[in-house]
Amino acid sequence: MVVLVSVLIGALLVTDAGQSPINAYTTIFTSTFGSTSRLVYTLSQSAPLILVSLGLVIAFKSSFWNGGGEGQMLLGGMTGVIVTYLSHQAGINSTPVLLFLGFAGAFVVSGLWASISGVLKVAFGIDDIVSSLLLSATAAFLVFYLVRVPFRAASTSTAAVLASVSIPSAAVFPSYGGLSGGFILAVAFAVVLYFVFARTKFGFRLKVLGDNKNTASAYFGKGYSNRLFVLASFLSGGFIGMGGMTMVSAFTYNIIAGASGGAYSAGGFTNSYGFIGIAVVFLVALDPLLAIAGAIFFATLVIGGLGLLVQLNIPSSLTITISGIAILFVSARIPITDRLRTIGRRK
Amino acid sequence: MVASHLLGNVYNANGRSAVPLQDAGVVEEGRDLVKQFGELVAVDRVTVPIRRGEIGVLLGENGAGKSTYLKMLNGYLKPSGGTIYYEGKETRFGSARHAVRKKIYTIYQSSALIDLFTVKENMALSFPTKSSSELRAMIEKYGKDVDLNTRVALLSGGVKQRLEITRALESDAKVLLLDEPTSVLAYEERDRLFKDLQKLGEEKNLGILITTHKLRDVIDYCKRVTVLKQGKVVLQKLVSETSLKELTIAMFGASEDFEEATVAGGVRADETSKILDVEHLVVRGTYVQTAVQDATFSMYKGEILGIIGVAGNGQLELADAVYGLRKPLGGKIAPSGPILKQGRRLKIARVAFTTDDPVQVGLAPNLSVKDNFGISLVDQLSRGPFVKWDALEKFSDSAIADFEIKCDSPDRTLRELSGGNIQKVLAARELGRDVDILIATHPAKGLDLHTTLMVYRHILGMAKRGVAVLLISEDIDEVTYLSDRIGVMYEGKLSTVKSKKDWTKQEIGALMTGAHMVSGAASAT
Repeated sequence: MVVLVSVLIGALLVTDAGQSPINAYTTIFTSTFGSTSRLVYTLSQSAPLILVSLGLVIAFKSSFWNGGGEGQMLLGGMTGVIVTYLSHQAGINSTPVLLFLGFAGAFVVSGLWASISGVLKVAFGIDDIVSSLLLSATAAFLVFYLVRVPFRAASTSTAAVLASVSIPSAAVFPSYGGLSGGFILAVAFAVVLYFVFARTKFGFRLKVLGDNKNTASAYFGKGYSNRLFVLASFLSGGFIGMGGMTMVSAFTYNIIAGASGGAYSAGGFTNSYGFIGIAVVFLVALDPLLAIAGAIFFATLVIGGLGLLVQLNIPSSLTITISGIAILFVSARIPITDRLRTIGRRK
Repeated sequence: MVASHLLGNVYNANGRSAVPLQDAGVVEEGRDLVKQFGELVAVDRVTVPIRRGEIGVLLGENGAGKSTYLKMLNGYLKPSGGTIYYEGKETRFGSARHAVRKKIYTIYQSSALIDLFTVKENMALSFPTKSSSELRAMIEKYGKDVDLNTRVALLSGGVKQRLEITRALESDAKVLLLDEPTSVLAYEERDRLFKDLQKLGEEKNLGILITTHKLRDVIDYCKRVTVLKQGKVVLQKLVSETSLKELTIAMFGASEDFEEATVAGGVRADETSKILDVEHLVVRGTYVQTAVQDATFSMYKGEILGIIGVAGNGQLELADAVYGLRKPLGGKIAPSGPILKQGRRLKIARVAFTTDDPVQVGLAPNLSVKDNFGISLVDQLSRGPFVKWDALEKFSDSAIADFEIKCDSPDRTLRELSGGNIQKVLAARELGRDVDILIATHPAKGLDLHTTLMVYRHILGMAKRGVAVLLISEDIDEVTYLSDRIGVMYEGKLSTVKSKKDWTKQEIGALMTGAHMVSGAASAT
């Protein structure tokens, strides 16, 4: 329903801008799904967003309001670059090994970073949204430094744009018929996560913790609940970090720290996935499997925006607008459906 | 002079109050007041005159109608029937502010001061024209130990109350109403409150009316008492002309000994079945420093120990401490007997309904009904790291059937159920656990009769299976029906715990209201 409404509003905007909305949407559709190769491309592109969304699913199910997705993604990507680069220098050349090291490193580093917010919350009661957002900025600047100093690419032509070293070619994520292995990995993780929440005691306890902290403290023990929360924050950051690593390994191969890049997007590396992921998970009500579809939807908007720009001369900001509207409606949906439900019950 | 009313003769033949209207000593009176909320009649033709220079008291259990009556006298609620007379004239209050303008001041249980502001700032709000030194002099008139620059949030309940009284008196109040003033006071601050009220009341010829459920407040300090029971006046006399016995009978009903319990008594309470020792327990409270001051008792397998007390005397904190939600400040809680030998921790279930919110500690409102059943059962019903969903579903279905929980599917979000059904989920879950101890706090609060009996049946069943039950209750009938042994909680202290047959209802009632603590009182019977 949300999708429909935001699409309709987008259509109005397009008409207002003087173009046919049908044209616009067809373009989006064809540029993203128009052919097998394009379809495959879109799916592959959605992989990082899927992983980020999974990380946010873990976070939100346990009531860890992780606003630091951007920074965690950057850290994950950078860690991936560093680990694969150094491993390659040390002589490791096998793709599976490099990929494994890269993903593991990204998981651990981003996980630890996110768990700082988790610890601050349980130990000092510091608000997790605030701490994760602020730490995200810190992470971005840290990555900036790493990109511009120790891991600066050997040759850079323009002074304003600084790139990091590239990952070794052996560390590039293989594709199968154009479909990035990253997508397959992301879907696999989604399935695992679904299984964890549906079937295991651990997942169950996380859900309870997320819904009512007092109940969790009383029935699982206060110490255990606190540790569980920190673990959830670690896992959340870990998945998001893996999203960053996927971005590097399958698409960008390095990180570019644009001089004009804001604290949160380092010149566009993340595509704001850290925040778009929040919309995704709310749209799919924190379901890990549906998150795949949600991520594909939003990734479509992002990529389709490029198609619009190229073919119809509509600024890609249209798709950002649609995303924004979707996010608005998603966040409004929860209070609105709540109210509708209460009214329905009172009758 | 107003004639004294004898018990039972409060109203004359017409059903109207027999108090003559023109009495100069009466500053305000609510005559034959009625207050109805939908079907519920909270106040049923009650007349209470407030006399100048005296402290009058409305005495009754929770829910008897005291606060509701008070709120009609100060304009907060509009009476459904009856008339209010103020200074001899029939009056109708358009709003609470209207009453304040007429110099009727009310002090509620929760402080009406602004916590973020300092004392000086609060006072300045009400007296914008007074200077700082005038404010200081005003406050010091009523007690020197308040620093004007302290933030109100840091003050104790008693000091905040005193400030509110100061504010009322300095505004030339003619009537002072206090709703359960002693409930937020530390036990020691109460004397001070009443002494101040007495002195100031007489000095300024104030009419004062308080509500309370504590007998001690009545006997020690008040002039006239009106006992309310379920919205009706059952007694109205000068305190000097009544007795503790009469008051407790009025509040709790006629005194008879209990009929033989329907539960087979004779549970052997000895060392072999002892399961928990509590000694000189001290527990922190939310409003007062120590809610539990001294409690000593033991629990035995298969026995139901009932602790009864009026709300706010520490029994909830006691139960929380036994369950493990509150760490004791002193004393000890220790498993004993065969449990120690087994070397494991006690498994405790808890059914507790305390406030109006049905979702308490123990439930997760946004998860499904089935999930909620899992919260305490997940350990019992799991294989390794995996939850045995089929077993949980079976439990869930049988619990829903057993307790007649109205929900169309166990996958419904808990929050969508009605309040009573949410309670049933918690009860069904806890009463189905395999545990050593069950803590049941007001286990039937808010439940209809049918469900109440079901809950009782399950509690008795658990006891028969060997579970030690700690029952916390406000209701004498509930406690006497279910318990094997009974103790009474008053002001944080637990009475001697005796077997049910060694108690009378009246003794319990007296202990609940603090009659035994009234200075100079003979034994409560």
